[in-house]
Amino acid sequence: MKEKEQNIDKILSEYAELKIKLYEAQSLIDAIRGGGIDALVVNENGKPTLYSLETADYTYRLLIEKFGEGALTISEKGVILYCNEYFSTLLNVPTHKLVGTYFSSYVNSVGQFKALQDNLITGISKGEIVLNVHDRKIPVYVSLTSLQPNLPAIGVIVTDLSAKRKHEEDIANYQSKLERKITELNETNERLEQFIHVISHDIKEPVRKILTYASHLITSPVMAQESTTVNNLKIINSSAGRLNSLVEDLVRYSLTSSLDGFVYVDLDEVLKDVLEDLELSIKEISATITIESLPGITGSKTQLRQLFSNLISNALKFRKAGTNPEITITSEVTDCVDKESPNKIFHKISVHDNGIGMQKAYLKKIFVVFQRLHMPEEYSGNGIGLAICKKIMENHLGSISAESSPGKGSTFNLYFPIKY
Amino acid sequence: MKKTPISARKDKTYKFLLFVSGMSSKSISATENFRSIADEYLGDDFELEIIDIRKDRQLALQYQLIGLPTLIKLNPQPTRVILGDLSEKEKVLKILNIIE
Repeated sequence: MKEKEQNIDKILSEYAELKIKLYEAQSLIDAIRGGGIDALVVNENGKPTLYSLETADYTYRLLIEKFGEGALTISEKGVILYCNEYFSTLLNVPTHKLVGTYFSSYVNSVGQFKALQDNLITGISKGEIVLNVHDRKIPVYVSLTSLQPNLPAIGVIVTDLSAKRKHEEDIANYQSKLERKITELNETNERLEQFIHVISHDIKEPVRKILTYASHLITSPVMAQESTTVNNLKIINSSAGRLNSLVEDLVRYSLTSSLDGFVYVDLDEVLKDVLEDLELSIKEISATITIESLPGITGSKTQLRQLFSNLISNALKFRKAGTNPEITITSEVTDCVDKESPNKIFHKISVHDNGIGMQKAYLKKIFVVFQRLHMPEEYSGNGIGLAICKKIMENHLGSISAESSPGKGSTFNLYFPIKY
Repeated sequence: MKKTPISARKDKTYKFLLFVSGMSSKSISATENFRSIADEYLGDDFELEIIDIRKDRQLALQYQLIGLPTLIKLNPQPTRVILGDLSEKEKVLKILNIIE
């Protein structure tokens, strides 16, 4: 009895399984009948072949038809079998007039296209050619794909390069315009430098004569009794001397613009050289100079030597009467200089002295040519030294600033950008 | 929330293969329809592999396909096959044996 029940259960579950199998099979048939599929798989001698049904290629066809590039198929002999709207618009020839004609009849250099076609053996063949329709030339990029073995034809994608060509030409034009301007500028600069040399030579020549002859007169025995005239001659002499050094400084200032000869420069060595040059005046006024270890930077050795020479000479010159000058040079790495360069970091090198100092109002003025705060009788110089320093710092893509207050000494900060 | 490392992740209950024929319209619908059914009934407890038969025709032999698109449920057993664009949800749920 129990066995019978088990058998019934088994049969029932088999029945349920068969029912669902049948339902599954029925749904397969329904799907084929009802058009729910796009392709049938048929085994031909053990080789699966896909037979696409009517709607199946719709997506592809629409994609090619509306494609933003020219798309066509050509036979192996080059007859156009199909082309999309874009290609017809590009050539300005209606589609029905294109199909059936030879693609090569729209190509400017048939040889080039032939070469691309020959390359097809290796797979996809790409290259630039020029189309020629009714004497209108269109530069295009073509990409050929063999449709073998399914179809004895070639798929061609055509990309219009006219806009790109035009941009390239525009850029080339701007480039050559710029180059012309740069050449002009360089020529102007050269002429200016020559002008400076000539002018300085022409000014210095008569000044030297004034100096020489005034000196002769001063020492001449005839002048022994003429003390007033000798004094006047001395004034002439010293003025001429100032004029001479002024011209020299101005020439130096105008020639510090050159950016040539940037190399790695060890600032320790630069300072060593500068101190050697200034050794006599340092000893003469018993100045103490303390220098921290300084970094190496990329720059012009000549200009950097000039820079530190000017700054130290200034510190020595503007010393406080009755005090031994003390100059300290320090170095650190800093990242906050100004708002314009928020993420850059700099070598900050400070030249600090215990000299006469100056009022805050003057701190910006001192870097401008010919700005001087003192009478020439008090402190010698032409008011060009700091302007040269500023120019040198600009040449090194850095900056210079000053801190000071009267009687408290001055600090000149140099900021050299650190490159990564 | 702590992420479970991949190796310790639990295997999904359901595993499906969907065979399609490129970008053909029924194949696209089948992919969409399956997605919405799966999102509604399976959460993320399933694995789906979509296979383009145009790229590997031999697979059609291996899985004895007669048309495309075809959805095959590999897990849990028994294997079930549905042909068509999966637009009839009731039918799909019944054949796949997913209880509402």
